[in-house]
Amino acid sequence: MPLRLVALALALVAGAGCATYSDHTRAARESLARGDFERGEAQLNEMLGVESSRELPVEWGSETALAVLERATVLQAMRDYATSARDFTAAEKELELLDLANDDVGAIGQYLFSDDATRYKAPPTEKLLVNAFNMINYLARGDLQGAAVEARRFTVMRKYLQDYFPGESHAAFGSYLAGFVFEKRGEYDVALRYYDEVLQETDASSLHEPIVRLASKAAYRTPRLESVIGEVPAPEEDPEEGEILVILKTGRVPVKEAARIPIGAALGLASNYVSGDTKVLEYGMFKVVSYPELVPTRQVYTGGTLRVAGSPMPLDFVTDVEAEVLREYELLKPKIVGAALTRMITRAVAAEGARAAGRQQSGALGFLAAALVEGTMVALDKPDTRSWSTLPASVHLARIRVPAGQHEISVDLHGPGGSGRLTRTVDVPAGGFAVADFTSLR
Amino acid sequence: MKRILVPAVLAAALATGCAGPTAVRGGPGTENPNLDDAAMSTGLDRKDLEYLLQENVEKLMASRAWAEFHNAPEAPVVAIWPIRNDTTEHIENQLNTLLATLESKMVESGDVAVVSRERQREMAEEVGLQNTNGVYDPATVARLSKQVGARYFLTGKVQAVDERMEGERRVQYTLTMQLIEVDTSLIKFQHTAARTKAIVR
Repeated sequence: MPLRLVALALALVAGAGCATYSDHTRAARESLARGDFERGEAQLNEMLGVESSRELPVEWGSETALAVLERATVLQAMRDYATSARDFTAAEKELELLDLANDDVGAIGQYLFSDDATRYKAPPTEKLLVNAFNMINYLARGDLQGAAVEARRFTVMRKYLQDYFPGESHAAFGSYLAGFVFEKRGEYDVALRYYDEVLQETDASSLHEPIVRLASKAAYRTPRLESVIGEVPAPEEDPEEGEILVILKTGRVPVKEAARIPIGAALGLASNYVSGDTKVLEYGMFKVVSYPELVPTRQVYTGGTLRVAGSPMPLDFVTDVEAEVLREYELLKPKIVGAALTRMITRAVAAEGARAAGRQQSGALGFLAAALVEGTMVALDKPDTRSWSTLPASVHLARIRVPAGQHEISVDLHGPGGSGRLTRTVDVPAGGFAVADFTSLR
Repeated sequence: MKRILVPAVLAAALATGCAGPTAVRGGPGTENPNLDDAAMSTGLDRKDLEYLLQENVEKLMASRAWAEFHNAPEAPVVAIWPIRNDTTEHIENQLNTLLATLESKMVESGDVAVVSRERQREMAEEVGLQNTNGVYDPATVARLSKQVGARYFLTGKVQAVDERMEGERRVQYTLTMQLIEVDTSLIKFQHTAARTKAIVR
């Protein structure tokens, strides 16, 4: 009889199990994978409890800032740059407050239930990329003033991460775009500093000519810049020319999904990060650990061939965002699994307490009480699958000098999912610039 | 320890209870007269901007240059150019409001004649400088000021030193204003006001 009751109780509890963040965003991500951005946007709005992207949510829960960040990314892909910028700014402000805030209630919840009980603290990669992506929203509208604000914010975050998380990702494309912003503002030394940051990460050949050109106007030098400056003679500038900045973002980064591993394997991975007596786990009913595992997203497109007026042009693969996210996760994984193990120990201790209390009346009641307490807590343990899931997997950049006027830009996308073509027409002013921004989101 | 765990579970669950946000009215004459006083972020709010502007205007009107304007037989013509945003915050709208307030204060003083900013905007547009860095370039601004008949121009910039550390962020803002004579490029007045905003524990 007690065993039947236990089974029934566990079934009820399991039925009440909560969906994780990746469950909540799944429908939107599937729409994006089909290339249906409008549907993906609508599903994110549904998740946010708003009727359209004109609205920001009134109440901000544990997932809201992240969901607004997802919507900002989709809106940028749809080239609604003004609304995307508003969303990025709103989400960033909230994420910053969450990052700086104390979270005592969340910490208790994390200890007892799940990492999901805490406020969302964006990992370094996401923190840095918010400003880098928002810079695109201002650049695409020719707003150098707004782009410069984002570039400065990017730098503040980059410096902070270098100080506190040395060795973490550096989002070279953010430095590339920031350099472009300050170059176009006529702040050449600042631009060269950013370009040097790019060269630290990757040899972006599309920057060589601009660096040589800027070298005649600015004094800032590093050995990396010197080696580029020595390569080619300074090009002559034609005042009737302008420049096209091409930004191509393909694929999506891996997402976190709920996963389980046996306790033994988990202990092998994360024993240094476990608090409590692991022997208690022998008495627990559950022998597997729930944790968030990073799962690759099926990439439809991984790159593209750029053409201007039909002629192929080089495109630099500047940032492998997917690799940066993976590397960051692998570093954090032992801590994540360790936290899950610590929660299992807490649950086992709680179950033992309930068992002892129940036994004072009868042995069967003690067993039932222990099973109910541990089962309830297990059901409430949602692996924290929160992450910026619509983040593009890779960023490619190009700069092309062209005569002032209209120009047709196309990108022939390619990858494991087949091929596709994106086109834009840009109007380039003499001495100015235009941005051709492409996002596949799949 | 074991006995308190189960109640702690329930207590933590109850702690997630929620109350909806409410819109309120604030400022003098309302039920929330101090609503404007609280800092909501590290950005510059109206109170900060009023402080930065007020300090600069007070110093300007107490300056030797202003005394000369006050005693001059004819009020000199002054053009006011946009304040450059060199900060880490999107405060362009606030700076435009600031500029309008500055314009009002100068007109109300009666000591100077102020060129319409609308006219200046048209001039900048005519030479393709609207929304470019050119409206902050001293040489360009001097040339345009001369074209609109100004003897002096007033310009400024907001700068910020923005730093983060574990759990805290501090932004030190300064508003620097300059009054420059168009013909000589001499700085007739300059002052910097400072304000710091932070998120601290």
